[in-house]
Amino acid sequence: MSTAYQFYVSTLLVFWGVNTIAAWGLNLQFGISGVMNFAYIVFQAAGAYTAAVLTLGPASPNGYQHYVGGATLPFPLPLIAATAVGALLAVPIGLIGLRRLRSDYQAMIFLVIALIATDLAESQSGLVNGTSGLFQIPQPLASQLNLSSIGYQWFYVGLAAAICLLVYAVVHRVTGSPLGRSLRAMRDSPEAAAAVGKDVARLRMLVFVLGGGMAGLSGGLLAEYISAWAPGSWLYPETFVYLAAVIIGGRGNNFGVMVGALLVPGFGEVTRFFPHLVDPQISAALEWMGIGAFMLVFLWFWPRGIFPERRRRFAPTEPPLPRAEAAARVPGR
Amino acid sequence: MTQARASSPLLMVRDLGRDFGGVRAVDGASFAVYGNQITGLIGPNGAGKSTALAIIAGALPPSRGSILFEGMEIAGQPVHKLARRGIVRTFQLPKAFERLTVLENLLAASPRQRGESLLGSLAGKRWWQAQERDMVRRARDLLDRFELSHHEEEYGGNLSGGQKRLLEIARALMADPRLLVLDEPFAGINPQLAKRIGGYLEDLRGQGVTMLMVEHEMAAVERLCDSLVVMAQGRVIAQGSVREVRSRQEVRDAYLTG
Repeated sequence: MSTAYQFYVSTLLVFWGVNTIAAWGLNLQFGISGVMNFAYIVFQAAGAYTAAVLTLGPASPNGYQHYVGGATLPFPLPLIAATAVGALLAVPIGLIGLRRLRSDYQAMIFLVIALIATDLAESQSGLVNGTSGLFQIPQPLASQLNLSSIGYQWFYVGLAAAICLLVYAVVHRVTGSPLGRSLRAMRDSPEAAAAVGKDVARLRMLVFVLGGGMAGLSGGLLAEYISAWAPGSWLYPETFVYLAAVIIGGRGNNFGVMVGALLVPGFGEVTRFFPHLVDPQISAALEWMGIGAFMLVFLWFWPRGIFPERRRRFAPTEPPLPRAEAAARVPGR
Repeated sequence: MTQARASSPLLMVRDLGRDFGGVRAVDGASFAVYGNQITGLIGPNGAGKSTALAIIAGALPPSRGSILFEGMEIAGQPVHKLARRGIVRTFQLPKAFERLTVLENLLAASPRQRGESLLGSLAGKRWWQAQERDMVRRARDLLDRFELSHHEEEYGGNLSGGQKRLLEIARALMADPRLLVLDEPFAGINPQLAKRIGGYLEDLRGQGVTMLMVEHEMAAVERLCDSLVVMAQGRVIAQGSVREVRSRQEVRDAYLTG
């Protein structure tokens, strides 16, 4: 493989890893639990900024970048902090947005929060350097490893893969457990779930925090890789890319969502291959139209996605009780 | 019946009130539900039955009044807390967990699951699967009883209206109810199924499950209920056995003038 190709493929793989982590988090919220979080991208941005300012070091007063809370922390700490900030940010936003039971109101509240967050980051130039965003973020372990640039690319692919595995272990255990079942029950009918003892507000907050942490982690991983992060990369429509990945891949199915996280952003890559045909601005617009059309087609014809949520089957229980004995048992005692 | 009456009631509703704007949907209702009985809550449309039921189940906070359940004040507590205390309701339009299988619908209702907390779920299968097996067994017993066993792997959303109603009752039982609150269990189902459901409810009473039931189907009410509470215009106008209540002039007036 030529160096250019290696560079291209490894970049795609890192992006796939980042998108997979983010899509898993959104799947936990939307696909499994029915929480319509249109502010999802804000959590990714928060993680990205956190990781950035914690590796950039303190901002110099005469420098060209202005931001708060600069520090130089060693490798895994900025990513851990990014996860924590995403999760912690979910608490106040969740308290505002999750109070109402109806999910359509929630969706609107979250959309507004996403708009406010972009506005805030862009207009307060001292916060995270305004519209220019942060750049020249040092890549993790780059100076210690002393690899060739291609070597470092593949190192980052490995890092992203390892973090994906870790996140998968968490989402797999949550979705496959009785907790996951309660979350899906809540998604299907919050009223009925409450009527059998589920604390719906608490469960929603739980997935909000978990998903927020995953979004933050994905943001940190992305910002440290591309070494830059600006409000232009996290406008509210970006949430719809992840939403499309979840819907097209198969909401409620972690494997499907991983495939969706490859297909949907990969769509943009396809348009990149015919840049000579159209004006680059039109090609960007085409990408959005393509994602929108793609999503609509799926919602019409395959609303469950490419890999629909798995039907859970249970092994026979031994020994089955004889009918008479079963009927004689007092229920619920 | 008279013996059961002598014991203290399981549920005691006193001067319950609920306003919607200027409308007093429930206006000082008082009644009692005794253990091991089926109590029917009846009355003309707009009498406040459904509102009273929603308040008892925790879906609506009362504007005033008190509700004692097993001697404890519970008025205004949220639905899930009441469910954990043992007040479990069904809905007028059955609400199945549509994308959960029939068996999972029951499992989801099981209380105190080890794998239901975040840490419990992260601990992995070995932490919760023994309990899960017991739960599956119990859920299958219930499905068998409600003749839903052959639909075990079907999605809740694919069941017929009548089957959903059966599923909802089975699911409620899985949640360990001490008081089962049924919101029109006979509405909109065919006579054979109504008969089956009636039979199940009688069996449940025989096993010591207390029920409070809002119902319009008077034939079913008269056949099943040990005790009736009649509401009209937000107030309780009569409480007693079916025979006692039927003889009361104000009950006839309320139904005739509606």
